[in-house]
Amino acid sequence: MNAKPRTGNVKEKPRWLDKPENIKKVIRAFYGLCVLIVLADLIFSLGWHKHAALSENSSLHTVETLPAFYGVYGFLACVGLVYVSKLMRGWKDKNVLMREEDYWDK
Amino acid sequence: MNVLASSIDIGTHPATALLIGGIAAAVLRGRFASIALVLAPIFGLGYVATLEVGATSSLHLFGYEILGVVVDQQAKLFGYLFHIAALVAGIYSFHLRDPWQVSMSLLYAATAVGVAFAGDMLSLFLWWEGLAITSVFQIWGRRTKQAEEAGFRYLFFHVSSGLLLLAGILVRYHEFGTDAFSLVSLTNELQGGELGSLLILIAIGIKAAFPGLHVWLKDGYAEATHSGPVWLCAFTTKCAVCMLARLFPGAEVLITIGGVMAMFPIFYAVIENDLRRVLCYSKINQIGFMVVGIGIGTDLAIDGAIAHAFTHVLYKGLLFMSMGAVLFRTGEIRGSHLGGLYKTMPWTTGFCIVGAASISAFPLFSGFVSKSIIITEAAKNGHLLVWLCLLFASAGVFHHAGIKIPFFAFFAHDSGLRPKEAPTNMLIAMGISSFLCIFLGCNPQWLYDMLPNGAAGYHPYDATHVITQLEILLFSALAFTLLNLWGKYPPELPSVNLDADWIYRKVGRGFLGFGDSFWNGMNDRAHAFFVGGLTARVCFFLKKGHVYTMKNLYLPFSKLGLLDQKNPKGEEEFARRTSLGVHPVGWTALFSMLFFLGFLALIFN
Repeated sequence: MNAKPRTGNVKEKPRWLDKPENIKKVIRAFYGLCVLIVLADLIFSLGWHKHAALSENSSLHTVETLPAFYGVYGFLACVGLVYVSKLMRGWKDKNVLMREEDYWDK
Repeated sequence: MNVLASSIDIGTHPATALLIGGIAAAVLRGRFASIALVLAPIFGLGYVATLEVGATSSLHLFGYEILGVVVDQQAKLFGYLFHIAALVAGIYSFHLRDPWQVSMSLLYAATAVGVAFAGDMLSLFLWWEGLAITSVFQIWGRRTKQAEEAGFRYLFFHVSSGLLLLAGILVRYHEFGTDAFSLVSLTNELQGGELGSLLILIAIGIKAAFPGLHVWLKDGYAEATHSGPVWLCAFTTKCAVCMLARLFPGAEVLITIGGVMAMFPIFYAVIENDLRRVLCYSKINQIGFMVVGIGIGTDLAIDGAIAHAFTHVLYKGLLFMSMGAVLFRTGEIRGSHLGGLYKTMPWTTGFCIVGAASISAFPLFSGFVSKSIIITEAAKNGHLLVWLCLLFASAGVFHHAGIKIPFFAFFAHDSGLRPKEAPTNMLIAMGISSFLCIFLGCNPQWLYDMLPNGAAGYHPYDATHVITQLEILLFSALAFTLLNLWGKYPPELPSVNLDADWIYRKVGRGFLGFGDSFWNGMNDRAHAFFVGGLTARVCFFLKKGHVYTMKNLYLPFSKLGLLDQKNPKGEEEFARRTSLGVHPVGWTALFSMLFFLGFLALIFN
């Protein structure tokens, strides 16, 4: 293992990402990308034949072929994921699965 | 069949180069051992390329014919994979100067190659046990108390796996004779409820980290050396996937197991603080995809599972390498203590992002061309719920492995750490892996051509696949961004999370405590009673008993004035004589007579 790495240098030049306005730019570009992909999906669903993953007789066939189904599903999945994980950590100020770091050594 | 070797000619086993390399690395020291570490996989890779499909090699031992090597397309693909993984990991570990770690890592790779080419159950079992023993040195190499304990827990799981495999083979041998040794699909037997094949499934399930049997993975890998997980993540679980594809293709139970494996670890990964442990959870999640593919059992689905195993080794190795570099340079791997490292480790950051994009299955990266086969096949074959689970898991894996790993290690809040860039050999290894990830992502045909069924009729790059996949990924990133901006994202906290290991690490410890207090308590009491109490009394009686008896007999005579009254110490003198066993003749005669009379009275009364 190497010696302790040196910590932040006072004279260090601030990086491009250190400025909050640049982070805002990145996030705005990202929002733009999200809008673009939904547009692409929309145009593709309307203008061309979008082949479905599920077969015609599947109960979710129509839902799956809706434009932006995958986007909405992905978004909801991740929000659900985060909230369920937070519940796994603790519920009403009580730890469920989370323990202090030296738990196993006790 | 093209016979590769006669019964004694073992020199042509595909694992030979790695085995010799391992032994050489154990004998050599310093840089020479490291050179063996890099050369052995290159020679092995060249040899695997010359093997012809259909070749076999057998060994006669104790009247049995052991099929040591059977070359088929799947074995060859895993042979390539294990050698490439060993080469990359070897370059990554070039700076290591620990002979145990260096030599054992090559032997570990050799046993994995042995498993991939194993022709029957007996050779499989031997290599399988080898996997367990050689791999644990990657954990013990860290030389901390935690690593030592984690290594023993790891070994416990893997030795159990070997024993279960042996038990399964023997149960089947008892029933079917030598037919039981052939390495053919056991799916029908398993679904018919046969015990032997169930035992074999559990044995493989331990190595494949089935739910509940998975804790060795997140426990052992997180305690390993900085280079350990790079080796560990390539072989053990992939051997299990290779064997599942051989022995249980189309077993329906695997679809459910795989679905659970793909789902539950992502919840843990979101709240886990140790970034290598996050990777362990995402590894279980990825193996879940492969298990689902094998469970679906169509040619294309199995191709998908094997292709995913191939790409997974490359990108998971890459992610573990980047985290290993962070651990090596900072001595820290907890997300709560890292951040802002991109400033001084830009190359590592870049490689990590390539790995993250691959595991998230971004188009043009390797994960996309393999994972999408499995998801498409799940949908096509009507496994609706599993399909929804896999989509959820795809979004989730991007969330925790694709974003969380690079974000919390290299960006996020500035931890103030300014470590040096990773050593050159690590950068080269990461560079090779990154290249392969992008190359296979852009040229999937190279990978598909190696698959057992050639992924016939599958085209990953059509507009629907690309658009829907990008949509899922971008919107899960959107969820991450918004939750982070709103402060709803769970922060990285120094903590550990309870998993199935709680059962044996705490309940087990409680059981041990109970056993300890109950059985040892009983032992203590018995000891106190028999040794401390009874024996002491018996000893005391034997030592002093006759003295007291004689004293008591002496007193009435003394009181009656029958004895010498002039000697004031008469009583003590008498006791001393009794304890020594010497009395004047008169006394002895008197007491003998008294005892004799007493006996006569007792007998003839």
